[in-house]
Amino acid sequence: MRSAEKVERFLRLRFGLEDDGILAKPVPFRLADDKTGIDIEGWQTSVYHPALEALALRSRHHGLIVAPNTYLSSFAYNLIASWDYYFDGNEHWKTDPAHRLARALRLHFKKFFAEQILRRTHNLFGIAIFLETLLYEEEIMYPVLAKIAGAHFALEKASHPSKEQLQVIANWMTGLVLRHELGHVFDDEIDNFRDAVLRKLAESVEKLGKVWGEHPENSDEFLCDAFAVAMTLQHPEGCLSREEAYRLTILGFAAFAALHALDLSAHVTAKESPGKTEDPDRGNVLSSMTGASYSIGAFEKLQRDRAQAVRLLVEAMAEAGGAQVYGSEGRFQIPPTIVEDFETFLPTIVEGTDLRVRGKCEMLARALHGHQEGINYLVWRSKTYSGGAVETSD
Amino acid sequence: MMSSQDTDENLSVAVNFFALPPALKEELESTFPEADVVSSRAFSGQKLVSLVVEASEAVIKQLAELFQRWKDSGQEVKGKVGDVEFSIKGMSAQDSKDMLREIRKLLRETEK
Repeated sequence: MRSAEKVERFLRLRFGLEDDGILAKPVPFRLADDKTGIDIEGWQTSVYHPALEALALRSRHHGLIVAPNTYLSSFAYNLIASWDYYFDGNEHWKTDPAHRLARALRLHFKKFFAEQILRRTHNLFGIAIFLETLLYEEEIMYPVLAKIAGAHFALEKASHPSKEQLQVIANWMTGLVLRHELGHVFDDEIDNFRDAVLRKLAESVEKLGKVWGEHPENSDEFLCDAFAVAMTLQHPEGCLSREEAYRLTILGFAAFAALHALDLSAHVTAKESPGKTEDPDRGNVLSSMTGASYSIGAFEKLQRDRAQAVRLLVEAMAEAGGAQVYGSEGRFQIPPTIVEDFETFLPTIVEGTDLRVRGKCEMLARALHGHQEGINYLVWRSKTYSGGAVETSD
Repeated sequence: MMSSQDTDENLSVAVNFFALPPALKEELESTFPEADVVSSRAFSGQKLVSLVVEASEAVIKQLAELFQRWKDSGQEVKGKVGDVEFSIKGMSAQDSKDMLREIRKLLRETEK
């Protein structure tokens, strides 16, 4: 067996990827630079797996493996594509559940929450809210993705993001995650990496001192975030203005923090309502769904502070370069409270659903309960939007 | 999380530890010198250690003894085996049996 195949089999074993994850073929890499003395060898691949755990691995047998998980970045991509399309510059989305931005954010956050519950346990609540997103709520994405979904979705008169514009968001999110991981690799391998990053960011990093100081155990995470931000901004996508690149970066880390909070919330929900036993009320068609309790917690302090640190860093970089992060020109306009706004929004994601939709999905969830293979199929099938010949009326 | 797989040479299992003091990682490495002990890091900053080892009844017995020693010393170790999360500090005899049964179950499934 060739080495790449050994690494692939090892990763499948390590991640438990028999049936619920996708792994790209590992390729060897060598990063050597005489000037800096860097000489790093390893394997690079990418994983799509709902467990948001290992991304940079050091194996006694296989050496260094860098494996960014595109599951996280793809949810961030969908959130930000929705933000880009539906944010209208005001705050109505925070209080009006029917606002299109609120509907789109709810779709992605709730779908992520449901998938995180379902990867842990087969519970009625998880199935029901997943079905809500799949059967009734994903249509809010049709206008956003009209250009890449092609003939499936009727185009509106208003403009739609082009394939290239959407690809930029995807690339940006993947780049932030990958460069963060590479930061850890460099931090391990290069003696003066920390000093070099801090020197590069110069005054911009001074504003972060207080935030970083509260996390001495995790200062490497902040360092690698700063590295990822600096490197990603150094390689701008052609169609992005400087301001848009700054906003996209802040949005990305706000989304990562929110998704992490939902991962932890799903952990608690699955633990409190394991739901693996047979639905006791299936025979009673008039009863309401049991096991419908759930927990959605606040952001973990570390993740909140990381998102805020990135915001502060980007603001400082913009200020130094005379750019307007919070201006009203260009795409990805955001308020300075975006991290808090996402955190405040999270507890509302299960609310705001039409009760008729909820009732129907509850019935379907009961019918599908105990058919885990079917649910797994739907979860994987949902990764591709396929509405058929859908007329969107935006 | 734990999974098993028939690799090119051996039938291997992976046991993932979410919390493992560094000294115990060294003990894991010395107890299983042939095994792959993998350090990894999630985007969230969570650090994990995985033991990927050729599976056999002898290995399962070694694991059981190691866990018992750690438990007796009051060390906090957390991880996941199949669908079963474990915390060695609070692990009952029954929990321990469940965990080892999970390993055996997985091995049997792979052997089929």
